[in-house]
Amino acid sequence: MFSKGVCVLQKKSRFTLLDIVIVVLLLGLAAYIAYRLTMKLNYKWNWRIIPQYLYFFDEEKGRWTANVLMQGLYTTIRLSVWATFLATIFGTIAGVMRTTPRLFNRLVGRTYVELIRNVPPLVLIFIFYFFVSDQIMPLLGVDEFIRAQSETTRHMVGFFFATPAMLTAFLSGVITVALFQGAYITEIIRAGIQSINRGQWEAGYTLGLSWGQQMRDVIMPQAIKRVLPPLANELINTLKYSAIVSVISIQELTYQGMQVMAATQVTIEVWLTITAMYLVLCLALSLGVQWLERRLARSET
Amino acid sequence: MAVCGRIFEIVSRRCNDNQLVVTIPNIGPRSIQRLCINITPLRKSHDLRQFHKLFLGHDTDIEELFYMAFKDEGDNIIVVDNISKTFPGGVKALVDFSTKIHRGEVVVIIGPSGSGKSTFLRCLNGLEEIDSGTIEIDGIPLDDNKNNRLEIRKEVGMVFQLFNLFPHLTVLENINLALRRVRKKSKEEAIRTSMNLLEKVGIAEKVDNYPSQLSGGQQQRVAIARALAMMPKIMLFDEATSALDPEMIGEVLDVMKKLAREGMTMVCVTHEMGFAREVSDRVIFMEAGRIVEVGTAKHFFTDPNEERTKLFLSQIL
Ligand SMILES: Nc1ncnc2c1ncn2[C@@H]1O[C@H](COP(=O)(O)OP(=O)(O)OP(=O)(O)O)[C@@H](O)[C@H]1O
Ligand SMILES: [Mg+2]
Repeated sequence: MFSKGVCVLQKKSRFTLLDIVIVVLLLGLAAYIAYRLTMKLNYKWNWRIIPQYLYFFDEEKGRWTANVLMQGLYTTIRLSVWATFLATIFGTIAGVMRTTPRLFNRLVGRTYVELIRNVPPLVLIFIFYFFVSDQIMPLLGVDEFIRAQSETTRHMVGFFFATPAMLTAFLSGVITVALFQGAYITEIIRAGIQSINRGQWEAGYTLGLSWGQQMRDVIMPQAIKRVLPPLANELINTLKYSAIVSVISIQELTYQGMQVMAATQVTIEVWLTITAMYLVLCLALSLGVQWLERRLARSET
Repeated sequence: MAVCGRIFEIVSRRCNDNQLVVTIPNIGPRSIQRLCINITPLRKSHDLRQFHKLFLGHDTDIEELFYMAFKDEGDNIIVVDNISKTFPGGVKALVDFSTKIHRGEVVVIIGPSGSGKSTFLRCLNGLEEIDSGTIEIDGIPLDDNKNNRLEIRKEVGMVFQLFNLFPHLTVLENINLALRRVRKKSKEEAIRTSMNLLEKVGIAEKVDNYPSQLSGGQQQRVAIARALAMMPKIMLFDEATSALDPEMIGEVLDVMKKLAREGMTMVCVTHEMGFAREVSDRVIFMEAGRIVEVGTAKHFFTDPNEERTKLFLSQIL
């Protein structure tokens, strides 16, 4: 139909001599720093203390149990998944609002995004947190509601969200991060909607579809497919940003790291461990996103 | 194929007055002395007496006859009065543009690039807002009233240069969507209608394919079927064959010709002069947002009045 001018950049899969030289130099530098750290620096490494904070053998129950760092990691994952989920809902609503013909809707969406993007996240966290946990949560009566539930329900809630004692704080954290990430997802959704060819709107219009029908049946299905990789990417971002809620005492990975550090005084080991935990998690997800991107790219044609 | 002669008598009317059989003794072999003429477009005004008075006994070019009949008689389905459109950049796409189009008429619009052909079509269904003037489609004014607009969007089908099929839906779903959502048809009914239409445009075997799996010509035929599913009274074609490879143009033009013969009111922007000659009742040549010359296709190909028209035609023919 159309002759597509395909421009393929040849990817070189072999290292050049220069690459090797650079790698050797970097390795040398790293080795030197490690040497300085271990030999010259007055620091006593104490790696043996770390594993017990990941898992420990519970004498009472007679089985291996996750300790604070692993629990922190689970909390981080739970928090991020829920926050991303909520943020996607917020972002979809606000993103669609930003593309409606009505000025009022566009302004509301715009205000949300600009407000959040132009205030330091840490400040937002405090504002949201004190507002959400002090005002909204008691209003919703989450605490009483959970206490009134049966044992199994509470157990389920504990598994998917947080233990009853931590629930209010956890939900505040989720909402806070979700509101924050929602602003970024808003922009992703908006870009996705706007990336759809105007001809699609026009075809829907001439067929007599209403704006809502055009959006739901024609535009969104295509836009969502396009924004799936960046959305999945936001999950990774949420995982990273979730560290910030440690300042409001949510016991996720970073918070637990600080606790362990305070208790044991083994600073570098703890933070290197936590770095590794974040890295493994985010890297795995990032590979997943790449896979998703490739699959979608293939199905586009 | 000009058919000239003196209309001798009107032999009969048949099919609910849709056709008129006339005899023209002084032309060709006997077989074509009797001509059957489709007068669907004239039916509403059905002023056959006037028809007698005008043409009986005169030397008449049948094509010209119909052009004249259409020119000021008949039932106007599109009335465009003095519309203007200036784009934000300051481009005057339409300047005091007026025309009337009859029910069942096939109008071809030609003109150089940027002359406002697409803009005119897009104003007819409200895809583009006009700055001044009025448009009336089948008696409904195209104004700010939402219901009027919706009614007009339902009545006016449009086929685009680049098809604009919905890539995430199959051929069947593409056609069904508006039937289900706008015409509120049941699923079975929608499928039945869609299948009939696909049959008509000759790609019934592709129902479950996605648009990307079809050739350009097939995609455009699906797009036509999709527009027809809404049972429009008017079809707009904006360079429906311009994006197609030469070997696929024919199959799309055939569908358009079939539609024209069935009495659909059509407004087509096209460079296909063969199409214009074969099925159009009227050709409008426009430039810089204005009508330069109007006439039958035959008129344009034999002796256009305007120098501009001659120059343009010499460039495209
Ligand atoms: N959305 C728009 N914004 C600004 N100017 C526009 C827009 N659409 C069309 N125009 C301008 O209006 C004029 C008429 O455009 P139009 O598309 O109607 O021309 P056309 O006769 O269909 O041309 P072509 O044969 O190239 O399709 C052109 O000068 C064009 O640049
Ligand atoms: Mg055009």
